[in-house]
Amino acid sequence: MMASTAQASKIPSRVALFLAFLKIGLLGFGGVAAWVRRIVVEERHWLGDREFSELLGIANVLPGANTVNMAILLGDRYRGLTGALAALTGLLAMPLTILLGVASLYDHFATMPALNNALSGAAAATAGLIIGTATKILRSIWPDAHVLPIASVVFLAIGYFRFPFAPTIACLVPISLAATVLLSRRKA
Amino acid sequence: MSEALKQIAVTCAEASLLAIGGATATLPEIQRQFVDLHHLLDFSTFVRLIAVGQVTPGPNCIVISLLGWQIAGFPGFIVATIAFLLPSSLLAFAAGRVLARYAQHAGLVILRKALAPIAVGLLFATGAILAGEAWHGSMSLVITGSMILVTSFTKINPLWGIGSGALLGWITGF
Repeated sequence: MMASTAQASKIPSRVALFLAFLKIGLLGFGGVAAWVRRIVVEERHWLGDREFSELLGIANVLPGANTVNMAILLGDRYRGLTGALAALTGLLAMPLTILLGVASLYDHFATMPALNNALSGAAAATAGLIIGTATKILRSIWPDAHVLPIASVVFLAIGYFRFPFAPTIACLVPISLAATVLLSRRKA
Repeated sequence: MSEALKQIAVTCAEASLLAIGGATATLPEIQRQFVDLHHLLDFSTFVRLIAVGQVTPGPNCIVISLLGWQIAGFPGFIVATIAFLLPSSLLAFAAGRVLARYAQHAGLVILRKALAPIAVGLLFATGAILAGEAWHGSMSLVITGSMILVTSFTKINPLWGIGSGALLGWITGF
């Protein structure tokens, strides 16, 4: 597998983990998971798309912020506890600092229509970034027969019908598991 | 003061373990605790702080630190951050260790394979919801659509697209 060779040849240092997640924290505006893929898969080649989607799946079903979970899982995977701390500190350092600055300026700028229009434009582009990222991952894992139907159902349930997250996922995880088992048996 | 800090710690730690699907999913419960039950914040302040969180880069969960700051200053900021991060992070750490230890176990291989399409479906859903929230007429569609194509088929740095989106939004005023 390409992903595993890429992983074997590139085990990031703690500093590299810190810097990668520092960048993710700074750039991730509205859609941090898309930036995690951009930096971890495309820029640093630490993971392939298949491994990334599996790890993101785990981060999604665990409680807590998804990106925080990704930082913990990736940091620990490469450098143990201190690696997890390095990634987590990197992820939160800048956003928390900026947050306090923005909080004191926000009231002043919130009423400026030009700024709101620019932010809406940036949000529209970020939505495209997230959907494009999902498309890219889908292209590399869709040959697994359960992928397309399960991903579609999740999308419709959460994105279109807006069902509450936890019960929906609690129903869909067993269904996806059953589909995966059935299809892997049929192949074997 | 210390009563407020204690309340911040309890509410944020609970939210941490309830936050399945990200921090945003727990905001209604946090609002119930801080605004309705314990009157630590009024509703309009709560809404304003959530908006601040949305225009700040980084994971959405940082807004919870901001709520702590508003209630109890810097100690509140620290307590809220740690209380929200620690429980779920310990759980993720333990889960990661178990998953790594039994990585080749057939059951876990299947579990990981089963979770991957759920993650992808959720990404599509997040993108669609964000596109809906950012909707300002047909220009939004142009920006989102172009960004989908650029991201799907090129490796161009997404900052160009987000910058162009902001510029288009500013110039056209939708």
